[in-house]
Amino acid sequence: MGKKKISEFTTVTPSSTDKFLVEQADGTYKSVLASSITTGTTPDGLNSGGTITVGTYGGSGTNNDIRVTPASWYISPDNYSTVINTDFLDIALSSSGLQRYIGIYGTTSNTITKVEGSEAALATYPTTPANSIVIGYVLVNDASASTTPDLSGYMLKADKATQASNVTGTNDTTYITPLANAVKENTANKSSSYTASSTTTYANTKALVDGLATKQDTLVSGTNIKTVGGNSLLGSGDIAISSGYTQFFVFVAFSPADATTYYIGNAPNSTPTTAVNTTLARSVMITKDGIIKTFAFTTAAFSTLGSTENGTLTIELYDINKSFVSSNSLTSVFKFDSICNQYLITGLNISVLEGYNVILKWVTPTWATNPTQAWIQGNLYIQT
Amino acid sequence: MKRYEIKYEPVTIEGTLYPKYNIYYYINGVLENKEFHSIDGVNGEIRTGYTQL
Repeated sequence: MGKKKISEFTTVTPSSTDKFLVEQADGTYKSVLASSITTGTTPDGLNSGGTITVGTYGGSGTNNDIRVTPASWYISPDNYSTVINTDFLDIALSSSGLQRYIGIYGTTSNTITKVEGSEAALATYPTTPANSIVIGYVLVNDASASTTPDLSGYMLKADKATQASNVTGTNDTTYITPLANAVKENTANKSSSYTASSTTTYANTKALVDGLATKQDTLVSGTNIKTVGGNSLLGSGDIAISSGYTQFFVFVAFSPADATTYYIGNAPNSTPTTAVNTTLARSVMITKDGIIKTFAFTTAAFSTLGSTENGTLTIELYDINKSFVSSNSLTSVFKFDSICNQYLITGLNISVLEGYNVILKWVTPTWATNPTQAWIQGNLYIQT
Repeated sequence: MKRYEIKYEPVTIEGTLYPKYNIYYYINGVLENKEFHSIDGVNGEIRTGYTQL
């Protein structure tokens, strides 16, 4: 076989119109433009021809011969070729259930050879001999031979980008093998329901997105859930809600005598009395269990201002049957020396029950000057 | 029956005598209330509907 050799110039910089003489395979020379010569490293491999077919080409059997058409190939630094078909006759089938590859190679002696691979359930290509280039492979199983590779168990190269995380490496330049324990996705397990209870199925992303859209965001106090009195509602436990109500005490202005005990209820049309039984009829009845926390009241003397002596004020509790329960001091400092004095008593903790009767007990001082048209109006705050 | 009675009941505070008249109110003979009336026993108020005892 002839060789085509390309002259190499490493120190010449030809112009676009320069020409070189190139020796051809038949030993003659051809004048070519320098610009048409490709410079640089040429990879080893098949240039042309080398078509592999399986058929009946002269052996004793049927469809068990391999034919390789004339081919040219390059193995650095030379080109090689064949000019007639290369036949491999009577290829033996593989053992039952097994397969093997036969590698077809171009050599540096202008010949095409074959190398038998090992038989296996899923065959792999034989090792390429030294000083050879791969022309192709023939797959031989226990029934036939074919130039079509067995792709079972392989993953398309086009899928490598999305499946790269599932593979361990490549078997050749075209296909990659999956992990030994990789299991192909069963799309039947893909569910459009994110609420189905199953250890097999899984919701698709649309089901998840749609499902999540119906859910409430994580609660953030003061952002998407209100507070109560400045308190966060997040977390466990109870938040005591404080509420309460007031009870009103008043009487008609009158002229209190010295060192006398008066009982005060809610009697806007009556004066206080010295008889508790009389005032109990005007007492304030508790409507809901609670704790008396605050008492606010006003004193006034609309006619004659009293001198500065202090009186005392006590709260007395009676049960629903008007039986005495307890007496609790409210204050011993209040006067009638002004047209209007206001007092606020806080920090009380007097428990009361529904149905209790409440009256105020006022003990007057001995005044130098008695107030006339004296008046008390007050409010009890009862926390529930 | 509603009746009243005015009594002279002076008090002494830190050695000073303060003349006082108090008025007592009764209903059917039972004391209902007691109020300061006046310092002279004359110019104080008397509830309507009560007659002197």
